[in-house]
Amino acid sequence: MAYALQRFGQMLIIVIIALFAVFSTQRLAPGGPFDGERPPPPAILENLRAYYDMDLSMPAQFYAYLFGMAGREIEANGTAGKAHWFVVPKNAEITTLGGTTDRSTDDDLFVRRFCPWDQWLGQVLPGARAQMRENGTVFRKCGVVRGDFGLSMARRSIYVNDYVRDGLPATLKYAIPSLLFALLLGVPMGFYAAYRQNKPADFIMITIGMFGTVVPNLVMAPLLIFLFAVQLDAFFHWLFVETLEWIELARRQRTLNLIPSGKTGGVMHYVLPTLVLGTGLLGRIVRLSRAGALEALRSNYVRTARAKGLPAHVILLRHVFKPAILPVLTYMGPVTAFILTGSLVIERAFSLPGLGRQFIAAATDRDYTLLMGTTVILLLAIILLNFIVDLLYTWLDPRIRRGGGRS
Amino acid sequence: MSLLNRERNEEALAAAGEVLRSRSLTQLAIARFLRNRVAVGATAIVIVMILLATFAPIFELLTGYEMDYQDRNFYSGKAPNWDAKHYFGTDQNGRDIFVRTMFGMRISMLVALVAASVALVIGVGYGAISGLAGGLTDTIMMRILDLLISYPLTLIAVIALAYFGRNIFIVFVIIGLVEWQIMARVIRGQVISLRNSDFIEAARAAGVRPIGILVRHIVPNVTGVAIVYMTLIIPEVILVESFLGYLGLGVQEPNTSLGVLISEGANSIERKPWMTYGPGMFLVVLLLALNFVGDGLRDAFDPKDR
Repeated sequence: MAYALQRFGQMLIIVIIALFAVFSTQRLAPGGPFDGERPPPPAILENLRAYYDMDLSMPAQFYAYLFGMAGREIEANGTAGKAHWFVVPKNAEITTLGGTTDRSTDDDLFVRRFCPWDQWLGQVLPGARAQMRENGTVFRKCGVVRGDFGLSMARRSIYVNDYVRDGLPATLKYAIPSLLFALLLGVPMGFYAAYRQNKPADFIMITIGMFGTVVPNLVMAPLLIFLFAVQLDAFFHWLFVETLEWIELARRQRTLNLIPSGKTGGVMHYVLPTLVLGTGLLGRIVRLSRAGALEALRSNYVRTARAKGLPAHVILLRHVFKPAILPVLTYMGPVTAFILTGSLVIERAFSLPGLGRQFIAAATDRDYTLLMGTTVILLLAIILLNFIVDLLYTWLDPRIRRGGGRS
Repeated sequence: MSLLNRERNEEALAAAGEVLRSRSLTQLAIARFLRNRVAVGATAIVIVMILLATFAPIFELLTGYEMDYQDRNFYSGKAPNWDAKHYFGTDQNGRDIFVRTMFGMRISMLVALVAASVALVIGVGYGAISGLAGGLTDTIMMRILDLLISYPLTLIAVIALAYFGRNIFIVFVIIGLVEWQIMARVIRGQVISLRNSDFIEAARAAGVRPIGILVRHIVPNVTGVAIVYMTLIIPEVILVESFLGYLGLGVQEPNTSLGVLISEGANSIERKPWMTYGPGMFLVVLLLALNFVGDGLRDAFDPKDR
């Protein structure tokens, strides 16, 4: 536990450094979010820059981004033009991503939308309720630390929180199944290959592993779309409708529905993206777990266990599993990176509304706040997964439990 | 007794004649590599592909279609046609995909070579410094490396490319910056085992400064390992480059790369699948061959790792 916490702390420091690096380089790089083909008039530009704290020094901007304050005096009357306060009249419509509209009527809205984490902490900003009673809903930036990612810079009516709320589930719902697919299939495959080393089964597993690592997902995606979504559907149509004249089937469901489009997918929509993202991982995991299991199988304690006459499955589960899973676990950090980059590919290939697509759009549009928001989420996902991996590691490898004692 | 042994030895040597000539480690490694048939075959494929990429302009002459030429007779995305010399078909602008694939391979290989060299320089430098310095510096540098490996530096490359333009030299440097960590770790291991060897000790006793030891003694001794691991990095680099190209962040028109071609093909996979076949096949074969070559070289030069 102490080891895992220590690692977590180190990663948190790295995250903050990485955030500052991204934050400052994007702002120092040539070009900005507001110089498009039709830049806004100078006065508006000035207001925009003030609202996004872009007129401050770099450390102050970063501080403002994290904590929402920038060390400026916060004016209480909330009139327009003050950088940190602006007022939306009561009952105004706010359009979110995905077409739903919210109305700025109640306190709840203020708390929920703009300081999401304050709601959990039970503290509402001082004076905010009074403000709302007088002026309608008062919006104030509260900084990333309190869950406010700010307004997008390219589409200035949309909050980055909304992008995240809509995009993150879409990313996770393909990332998690493919991770499970790769782990639950890859580890047994690797173990089995090691157990039957140099037999045909081993050869098949190695070939699968090789192809998984070598065929990039950007080739796999169009290929699978073409084979399974286009050709297979055409084949089924030919078989059932034209040849067997099974009209009822054609009427009920025209296609296999393998391409994730629209919201009416069901399980079939997961098949292709999970395969594309999962096979790359599967290949690497098969190779790693095979290598780990081979090493464990050659060890003396396994020979002892065999000599004792233990059955094969007991040896595999009790003596081989723990040491052989360690290289796979070590690889889980890069796995996260692999899944994140892979999800950029599948989101493009299958037109999924995930975070990766917002990430790329933000990078090309110079949408500073959106890019920072997505980066924060990605980094959080990485350190969370690494933390879990470290916990598992301490559980599996007694050598890491420093200073003795359980966990 | 010992005299007898010497006589016997000389007899045996004389009998064996030329068979028992001493061979250097490199010769042994090369012999081991040549015995690995898969690796040799993969090397042949890689060499053929390098030749294809190098002489890509020849295919412009052979087919009569330049890379940018829009074939108005055969306009707009036609399937492969051998009579018209469009071996892989044309894209939606009527450009020949076969010729474009050759040129794309050229860019991909160029990026691979230069970016892998950048990674080589960074990795060897970082690993050598970390291994030589030892102590606290080593611990801190390795800890940083550990943490960097878990971060998706490819995403940083996406940001950097989006912000600093799509100049091909920037692509080189940025991909090089992404792929150096494993190299650094391996080199550090080598350096640590070298550091305690006698000739380094002698150099140190003779008063050679650390920088001199690094340049004169350490770097030449890790060159072999570094080159082996560079061949393992090259497929990764090609993969990253095609990934960036697929996202529209790689090289720009009129240049093209395998990733860019696949991305163009993927957009119209339902109507024009042949646009993906050619570039996709070449990318997969190239990566497969490079992986086999890299694995073969590593097995040959580093037999304990098998």
